[in-house]
Amino acid sequence: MPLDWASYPAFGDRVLSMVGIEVHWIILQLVLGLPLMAVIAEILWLKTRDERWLRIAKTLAKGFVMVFAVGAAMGTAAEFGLILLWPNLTELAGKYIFFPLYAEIFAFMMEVVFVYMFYYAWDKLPEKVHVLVGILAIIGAWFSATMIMSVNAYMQAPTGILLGSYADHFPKLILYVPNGIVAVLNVTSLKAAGMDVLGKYDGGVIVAMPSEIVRAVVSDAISGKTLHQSILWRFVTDESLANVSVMSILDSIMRETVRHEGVTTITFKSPVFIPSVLHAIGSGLVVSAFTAMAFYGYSARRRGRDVAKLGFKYALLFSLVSLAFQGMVSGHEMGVAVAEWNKEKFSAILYGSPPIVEKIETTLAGVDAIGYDEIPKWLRPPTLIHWLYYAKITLAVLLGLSTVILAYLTFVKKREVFGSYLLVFPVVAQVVSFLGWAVREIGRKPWTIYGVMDVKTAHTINPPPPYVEVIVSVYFVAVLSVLIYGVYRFLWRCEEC
Amino acid sequence: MLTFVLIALVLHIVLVNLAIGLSVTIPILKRRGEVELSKSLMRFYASTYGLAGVFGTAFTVFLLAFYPSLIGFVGNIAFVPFAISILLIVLHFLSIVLYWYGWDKFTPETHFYVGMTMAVTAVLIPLGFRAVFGFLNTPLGLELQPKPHLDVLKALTNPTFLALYPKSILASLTLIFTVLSSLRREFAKLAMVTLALTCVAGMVYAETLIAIPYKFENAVRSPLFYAKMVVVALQFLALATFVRTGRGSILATVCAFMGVALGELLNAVSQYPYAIADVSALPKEMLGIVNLSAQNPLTSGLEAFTWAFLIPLLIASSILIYLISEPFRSSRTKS
Repeated sequence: MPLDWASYPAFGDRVLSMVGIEVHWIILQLVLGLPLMAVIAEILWLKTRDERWLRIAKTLAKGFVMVFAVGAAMGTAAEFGLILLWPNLTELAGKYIFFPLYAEIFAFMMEVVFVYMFYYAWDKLPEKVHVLVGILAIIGAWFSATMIMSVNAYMQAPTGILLGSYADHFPKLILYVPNGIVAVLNVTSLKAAGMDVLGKYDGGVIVAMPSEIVRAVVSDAISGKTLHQSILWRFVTDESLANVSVMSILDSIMRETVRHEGVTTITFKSPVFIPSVLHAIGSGLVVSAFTAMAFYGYSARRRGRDVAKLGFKYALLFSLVSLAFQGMVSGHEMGVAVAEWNKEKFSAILYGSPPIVEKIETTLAGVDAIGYDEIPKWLRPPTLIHWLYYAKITLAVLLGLSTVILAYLTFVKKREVFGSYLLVFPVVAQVVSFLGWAVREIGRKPWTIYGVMDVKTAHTINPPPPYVEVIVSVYFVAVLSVLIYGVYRFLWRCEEC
Repeated sequence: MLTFVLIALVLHIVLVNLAIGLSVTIPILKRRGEVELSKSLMRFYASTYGLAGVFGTAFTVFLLAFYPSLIGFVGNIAFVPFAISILLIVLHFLSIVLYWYGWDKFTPETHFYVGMTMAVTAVLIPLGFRAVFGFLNTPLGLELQPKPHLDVLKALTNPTFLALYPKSILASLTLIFTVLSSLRREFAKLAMVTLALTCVAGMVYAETLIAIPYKFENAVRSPLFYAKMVVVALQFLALATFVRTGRGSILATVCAFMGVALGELLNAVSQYPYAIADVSALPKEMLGIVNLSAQNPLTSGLEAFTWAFLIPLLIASSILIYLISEPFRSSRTKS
C-alpha cells in the first residue's frame, strides 16, 4: 500500500523547511560554481592578457557577490528554522555530531571574507594574490558545503547502520554500551528483541541494536521520560532505577559510541558522505554554468559584443563538462549509494516502474531492490519520490541532449545560437537539482535520522499555526523573486558587463 | 573556549551596532545631498556586513555544540521572537543588495524607500533578539503547563526587554555618530545627545535588573562596570573637546567601540554561569539546562582547531576591512 507524503507527521513544517532550504540552495549553488568560473577566467586573463577574460571574471564575480548576501541570510533562516521547527533534532545533533556544524563556522567565515575580498578589493591586491583570494573563496564555499553535507549524509545513512532482513529486526545501529549500563540490562530479553552482541571494548559491550528500539528510546529521552515510563523498562533488571531519566542513559551510550567512532570524524564516515558531497558540488557547478551560459547568450543576442560571445562559449563548455561529471560520475555514485544504503528509498523510487526500467536501475546500481510491499509499513517512504525521480531523470536527459546540440552547433558548425530561449537552461537545471534534493529528503521519511530518530520526535512541541507556515513560505519565495528581479535589472541588463 | 565565544559575541555586537547605525544614516545622508560620503559608507557596509552575520552564526553554533540542551529548550519555545528577527534579517540583506547595486539605477524616490527599508529592518532586527535577551534575564512568559511554551504577549512586557531594546538602538546611533564625527563635525553634537540618552536608558535598564539580584550584584561589582563608566565619561569628554577644538575624534571613536563591547560583555558575564539569570523563576529540573558551567563533554579538545582557524581568519577580516575602508580613510584625511 503506497503512502502519501502528507500522511507523515508535521506536514506544514516540512513544507516550510523545504521552501526555506530550497531558496537557500537555489542561491548557494551559484556560490559553489561561479567563483570557480571567475577564477579560471582570471587565470586565462593572466595567461593571455586578453581583456575579455578579465571582464568575464569581474562580471561572474559581481554575480555571485550580489546573490551571496541573500543566500547567506537564507542560510541563517534555515539554521534558525532547524532550531525552531526541529529543536529535538538540533539538540541531538548538537550533542553528538556537532563537529561539522562547528567547523562550518570557519568555512562560512572564509567564504564571507574571501568572497567579498575577491570582488571589492580587486584592484587593491597584486594579480597573483588576487587569484589566491579567489581560490580561498572557492575553498570556503566548498568547505562549507562539505560540512553541511556530512551532517545530511549522516541523516541519510548514519555511521554504524547495518542493513539486513526485516525478519531479523534490521536495520540496526552499532552502539557502544558502557559496562555500568550493561550490568543493569537483561541481555537475554534484548537478544530476543533482535539485539546482537558484536563484541567487547575496553569499558563495555558493542551491540547492534534494532532501529525500532533505538527510535523508541530516542523518543522517550526527548519526551523527558524516566526508565519506568520507557520501552527500556522491560529490559532493565534493577528496579531501583525506575526514576532515572532515559536521556541520561541515551547520553551515556551515544557519547561512548561517538568517542569510539570519532568525535570529529563520525559524520564523515557515513557510507553516503563522499557521493553526497560530490553530487552537491556538482549540482552547484551545473547550475552556475547554465546560468552564466544563459546570461552571456542573452547578452550576446542583445548587444552582440565579443566579450559576451566568448563568455557564452566558455560557459557552454563548462556546462558540458560539469553536466557530464554530474551525470556520469557523481550522479552514478550517488545512485549506487542510495541503492546500497537506502533500500527503502530505492524501492519507493522503483515502485510501479516497468520491469525493464527496474532491471536497468538495479543493473546500474549493482544491487537488487526489495519490493515496496515487503517493507514493514512503519519503514515505508512515500511513493511520490518515484514520480519526482523520473521527472528529474527525464529533465536531466533533455538538458544533456540540448547542451550537446548547442555545443555541436557552436563549436563544430560555428553557428551563433544566442537568444532568450537560453533562459530555459538554468531554470531546468535548478528544477532538476530541486527534484534530486526532494527525492533525497522526502525519500528519507519516516525518518529524520535514518534508523535513529523519526519525524515526530524531531519536531517542536509548539509548532506554528498553518497560516504562519503559509505566510513565511510566501515571504521566502517573494524575497527570492525580488532578488531575481534585482539580478536581472542590475546585472543582466548591465551595459558594461 | 569561553574566550572564543566572548570574541564572537563582542565582534558580532560591535559590528551589528555599526550596521544599525550605517543603515539608518546612509539613506538620510544621501537624501540630504551628501552623495559621495553616503556612497563611500555604503560601499564599506555592502562589503563588510556579512562579517556581523558570521560572528552571530558563530555564537549560535557555539551554543549548539556546547549547550545543546539549552538550544533544544529555547528552540521549542521561542519561535515568535526568533522568527521576527530572522525574517527581518532576510529582508535587510535583500535591501542592502538592492540599495547598493541599484544606486544609480532606481529613481531617487524608489532608492530612498529601499534605503528606508534597510534602515527600518536594521532597527527592528534586534527587537526579537533583545526580547530573547530579556527572557534570559528573567523568563517572563514561560508557561510550563500543559506543556512548556512561551506566552509571547507576557514576554514582551518583560521590563528588562523594554529597557534594553531602546538602549541598544541609542547605543548604535551613538557609535555611528561618533565614528562620523571625524568626517563631519556636526555629528559630534548628535553623538553627545544620543550618548546622554543612552546613559539614561542604561540607568533604566540597571533599575530593571535590581529585581534580579544575582545579575545586578554581579554587574555592579564587576571591573567591567567601572571600566565602562570610565570609557563612557572619556567618550563624552572627547566629543565635547572635539566640538570645541576639532581634536579628540579618534579617542571618542575608540571609546565608542570599547563602550559597546564592554556593555555587552558586562551584560553577558554578570549572569554567568546561568543562561537565564533569574534562576529563582525556574523549576528545579531546568537548572541543569541553564547552567553553563556544564558543557557538552564531547567538545573538549576543540581549542587547537578553533584557534588554528580563528586567528588567520581574524587577520584576513582585518585586511578586508583595511582594504575596503581606503576611500573612507582618504575622505577623513581630506576633511
